Amino acid sequence: MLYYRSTKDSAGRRPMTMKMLRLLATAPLAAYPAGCLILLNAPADNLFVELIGFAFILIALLGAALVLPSWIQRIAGEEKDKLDEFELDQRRRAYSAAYHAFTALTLIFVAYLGVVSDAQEKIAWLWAPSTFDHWNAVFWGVFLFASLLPSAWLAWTIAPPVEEE
Amino acid sequence: MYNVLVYINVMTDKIYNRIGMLRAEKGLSRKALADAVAVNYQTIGYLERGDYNPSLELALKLADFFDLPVEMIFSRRPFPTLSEQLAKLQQGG
Repeated sequence: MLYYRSTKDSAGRRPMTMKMLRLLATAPLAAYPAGCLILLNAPADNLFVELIGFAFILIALLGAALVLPSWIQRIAGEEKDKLDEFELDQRRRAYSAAYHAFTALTLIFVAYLGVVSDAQEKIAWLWAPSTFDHWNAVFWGVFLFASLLPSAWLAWTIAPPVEEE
Repeated sequence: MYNVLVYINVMTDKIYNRIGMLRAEKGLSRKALADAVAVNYQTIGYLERGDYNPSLELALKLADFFDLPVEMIFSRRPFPTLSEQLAKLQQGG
């Protein structure tokens, strides 16, 4: 089950507009890899470039932190018996889409590692994770994508909620 | 792009319903109706807007609640509007 930070409101916190939710659920998926790539390629001892890389990662974490208590993350991560049939239907669709996206990304990454292990001696600039920091970044990236892909799908596909009269 | 994604998400055939009209007739809020059939009030909103087709169980619960046959509440074809029905009555139909 995905993580959902429950709020006092049993229907999930709803102060954000759909546009904001879409931005917050999607931006981390781009900002985190971008931040990691900037840090990886930062020239040695160039603090400015490193700060930019960390800023991207901070944006990703901030976006994720704001999405976690939202009503779309509630659909993705709340206990099953606290959701109704519409929400369960949306969760099923979101999980299915996220599963396909996640497996595609994993396959691309594994295929890339396969190519690198074969060709790295000939093409020296090909990068593969080797240090603890590299694998740590990969681990948290996988965690972030696994947590946010269903929410990102929901943010882009679910119709805006109807406000109570 | 957003509209395309929403369409992909609700690509099933649309089921039309009279939930909004029946709820208004009873003077109920979405929350009150949602509590009566044990769903989130947003789900009633999505149903009324035609963004979601209910399960058979929920359709029967709603029919029970409104004390009407299920086909009076749900249809695969759009329901005639009130003005269309009145015009038909006036013509002796």
